Amino acid sequence: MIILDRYIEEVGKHLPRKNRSDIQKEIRSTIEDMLEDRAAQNGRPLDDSLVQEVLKEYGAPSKVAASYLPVRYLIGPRMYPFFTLVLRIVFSVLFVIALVRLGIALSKDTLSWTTFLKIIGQNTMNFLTGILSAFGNIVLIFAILERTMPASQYEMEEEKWDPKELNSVSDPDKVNRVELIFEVLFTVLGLILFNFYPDFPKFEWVSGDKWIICPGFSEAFFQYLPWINILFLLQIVIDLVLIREGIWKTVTRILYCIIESGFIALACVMLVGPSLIDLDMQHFQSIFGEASETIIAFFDRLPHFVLIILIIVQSIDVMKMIWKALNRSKTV
Amino acid sequence: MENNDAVQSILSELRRGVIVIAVLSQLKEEQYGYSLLKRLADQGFEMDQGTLYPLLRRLESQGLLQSIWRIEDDAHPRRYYVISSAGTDALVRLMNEWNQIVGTVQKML
Repeated sequence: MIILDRYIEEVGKHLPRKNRSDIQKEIRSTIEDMLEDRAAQNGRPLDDSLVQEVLKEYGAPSKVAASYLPVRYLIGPRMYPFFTLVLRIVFSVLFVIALVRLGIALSKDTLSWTTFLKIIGQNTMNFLTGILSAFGNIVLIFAILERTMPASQYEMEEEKWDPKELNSVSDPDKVNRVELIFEVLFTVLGLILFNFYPDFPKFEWVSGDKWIICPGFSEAFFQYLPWINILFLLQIVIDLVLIREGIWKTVTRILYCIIESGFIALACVMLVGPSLIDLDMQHFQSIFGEASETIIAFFDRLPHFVLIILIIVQSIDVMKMIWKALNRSKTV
Repeated sequence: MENNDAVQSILSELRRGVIVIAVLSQLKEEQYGYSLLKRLADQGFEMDQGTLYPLLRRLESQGLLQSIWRIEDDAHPRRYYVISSAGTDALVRLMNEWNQIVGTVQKML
């Protein structure tokens, strides 16, 4: 009967301490009944081979123990919606922090492709580590809440439930026309300014007895202008099509992704290219003296920062669009 | 094959619904687990230990059964189960519901 003792011991390892000995006692009693019955029925001695046969029939220890346990969740249905909400908030905050850190890191020096990719890689790894760590902590907190929050509190909330308070169903294919109208207006404004008022960011003012000149775009920037114009025009066309049709279709999603990818590619090229700001070093030195280095560095790094933000935002936009298109094709 | 699995799953759900009635109906007199299992099997209601014993514990925790550990005739200790008064009331209600369901379904079929 040593095998039976081992079996009972093994079942006990999978049971909660509270009822363990009682359940073990009951299982032993049942198996002993089965053994006696089987031995009497078949005229066999009650030996190890019979015990093994009966235990095999009774089932694996973990399976037997599981039949005594209720279904257990790490995070159950009552907590799950709050869990996903907290995850979304925390992940968004971490993403914004990572974005700012990346922007700062990339705006430090004139970048080569190698440095650019290295910084992107390092920051991505840091971001993923942060996400994993936050996920683990949130799961831990919710798992503790799942086991400590009284069920009565949840039942009270269930009683207060009102069908009238349900949120309206959102249509993922519906176009936000107001957003698109603003996008078209700003794109047209950008086209006019870049093409007809190339000096627009440059302005001067008098401080004391000195003229201060805020720098404008450099010649390097205007080399990219034809590409900017093409992308802006395509953007306006697709926006107008979307405003007219009112819904996203697979074709418009694909075209939108292509245009956004064009913006990303152009921003990457601009990022590793020469400075986009026309800085008059002598002018700054004559006005600000020692502080001029900081001011020059600020203007020099500003376009990098803006481009990085642009690349990340557009990339997310493209990924969201692809995800929606794939999701749509699955449901159709 | 898939269809067969689905039918098997529906059949076990159907049986699960009536197991409580079968068990309660056989516990008007004291039974230990294995004797109850055999008694049910003898009447054509086969079920495995993994289903019966947790069910007995659940019904006891719900107050529908009572149990006691006892040693009889030099045998090993056994837990004897018997229906409680709350269990008897519940069984009457369950049987009424069962008869109603059977009547309704038979009319539909």
